[in-house]
Amino acid sequence: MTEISQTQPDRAWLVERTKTGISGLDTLLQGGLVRGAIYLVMGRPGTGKTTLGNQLCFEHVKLGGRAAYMTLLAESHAAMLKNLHTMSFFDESVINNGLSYVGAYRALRDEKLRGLLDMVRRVILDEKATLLLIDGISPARALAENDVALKEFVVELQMLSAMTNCTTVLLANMTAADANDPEHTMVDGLIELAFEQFRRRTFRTIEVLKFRGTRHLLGRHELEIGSDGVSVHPRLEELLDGSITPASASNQRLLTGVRELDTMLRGGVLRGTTSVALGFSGSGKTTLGMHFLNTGADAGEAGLLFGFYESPDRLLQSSDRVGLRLREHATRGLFSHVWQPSYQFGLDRLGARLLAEVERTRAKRVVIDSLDGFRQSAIDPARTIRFITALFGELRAREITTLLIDETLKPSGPEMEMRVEGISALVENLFLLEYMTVGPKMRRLISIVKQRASAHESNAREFFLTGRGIEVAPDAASAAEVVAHSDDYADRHNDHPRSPEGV
Amino acid sequence: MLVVDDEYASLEVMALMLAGEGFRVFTANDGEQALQQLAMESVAIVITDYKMPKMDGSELCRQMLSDPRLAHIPVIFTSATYRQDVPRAKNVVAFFSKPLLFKDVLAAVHRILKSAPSP
Repeated sequence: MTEISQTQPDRAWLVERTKTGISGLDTLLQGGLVRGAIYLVMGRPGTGKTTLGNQLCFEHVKLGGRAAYMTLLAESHAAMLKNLHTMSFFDESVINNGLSYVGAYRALRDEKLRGLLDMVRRVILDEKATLLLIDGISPARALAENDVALKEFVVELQMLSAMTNCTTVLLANMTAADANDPEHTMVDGLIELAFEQFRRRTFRTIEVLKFRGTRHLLGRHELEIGSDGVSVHPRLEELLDGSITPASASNQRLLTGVRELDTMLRGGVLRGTTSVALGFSGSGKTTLGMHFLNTGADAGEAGLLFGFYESPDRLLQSSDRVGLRLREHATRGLFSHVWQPSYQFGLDRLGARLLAEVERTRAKRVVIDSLDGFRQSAIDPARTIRFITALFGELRAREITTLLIDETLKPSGPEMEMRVEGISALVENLFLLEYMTVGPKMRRLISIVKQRASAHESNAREFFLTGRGIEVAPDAASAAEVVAHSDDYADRHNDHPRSPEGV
Repeated sequence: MLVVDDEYASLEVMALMLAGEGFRVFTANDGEQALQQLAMESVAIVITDYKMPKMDGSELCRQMLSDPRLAHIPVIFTSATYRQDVPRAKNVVAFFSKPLLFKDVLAAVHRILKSAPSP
């Protein structure tokens, strides 16, 4: 008789991941799908199931695996491939050479679920498939005698996947609302694709509702379908867990480039901190941002302007007008401008774009113009603050000094209340740029509302927008005069009179 | 080939897979049913689970050994509990912890059949 043989001494293969190769999805799944497990991807028509399913197969083959795409009652393979051939992941050379398309409806119709299961067995073994897609599970439901028979089928399919170590993905035209369906309870993982609407804009989303035995990122995340196929943008606050911290808090001060403001700040802002410039439209916030980046670039430090409103051409013209050298710095790679309309991307795509640009340009100073661009991109406005917290945390961890521009609703007054509740708690420095009417003239004041853990001048000062950009008065005398004679001030501060000596 | 397992999917899929490889496959849900099958059918190998109601895999092996008509049949033992101390009777020639890979079981089956003495 043969000697007893003990097999599988190492059980690590039980949770071995297989990367999907899809941008952002492996991050969401914390490494990919589990080999030999069975997943249900569900969603209404148009949410991206077929694209995702095909892309999973093409990427799997690219990564060295073998895949089979099995359809029941779905569009013809030719029609499906025709729709996919413009996408960058599509590679005709792998079809029937690592990736097979198989029609299985006839086996299901003639021999019901047992016939389908045997077809799956044959396809996995004959094709040596390590990934199997079954597109359109609804006919199997329709042809099942009852729910128990369908459960039996799903459990058998799960066992078949496990015994062949072939990861299986079912695509189904259903939603999480059908949560009592047998498929939901029996599979190892549930992923829902959906549409979400906000301000008449429609976003695609992806949510991992269940992922047995392994970690994944919770919640709904943005899913994009473009020329590269599906890409997932995990929510920044889930992705950046704050585990990266700078080696040490820097005591190095960085000049803002506005001379008297730097005097008021006792030498500038600390490296790696975040500042907010808060003011009404036209108060000079963007100009302050340009000074900040220009001064950094003068010292050899790369800077990035991440903007939503002013186009790169217009911004460089503005820089030229006030004698700043951003145009020249751009040619030397010390100034970059990323510009996008706020409605084009969701929050997480913006966050990922910003961090990627910081990485690419090696920027040490960043200006975000403005916070409103993020607000308008948020599907869920209540999320903006969590997103910003995560983003600032990441920028700090990378020792990047950031200036965030935010617009107030009124031209002057002690409008310390940020439109995103609680944002002032998230930044180290807060500058207020105010307009005040004195007789027929509009005059501007700048004050440092806060500079965390650091001394600063408490007086407001008058400033001017000149051919040299922002010029701040050498002392607080003219600001005191503005406050004393401003009609706006008298109207707005009756309840909370402010000393002209400070804010 | 006789496959013995109380777990529905394990039994059905193993039987399906072996049948797909051209084997004649019988199934049983526990040791008692397995002995009844063995009394009626001639099989080359028994693949049995360990933990089962009524009669477990260990007792099935013991009963087979005590029956001269069944003592020569090699047994492949499977168990969801990954333990070295699973009782091993003399007729157990291979052990697999679950979840198992079919290719490993199939390789063991072929190996056993190849080394089996000619009738």
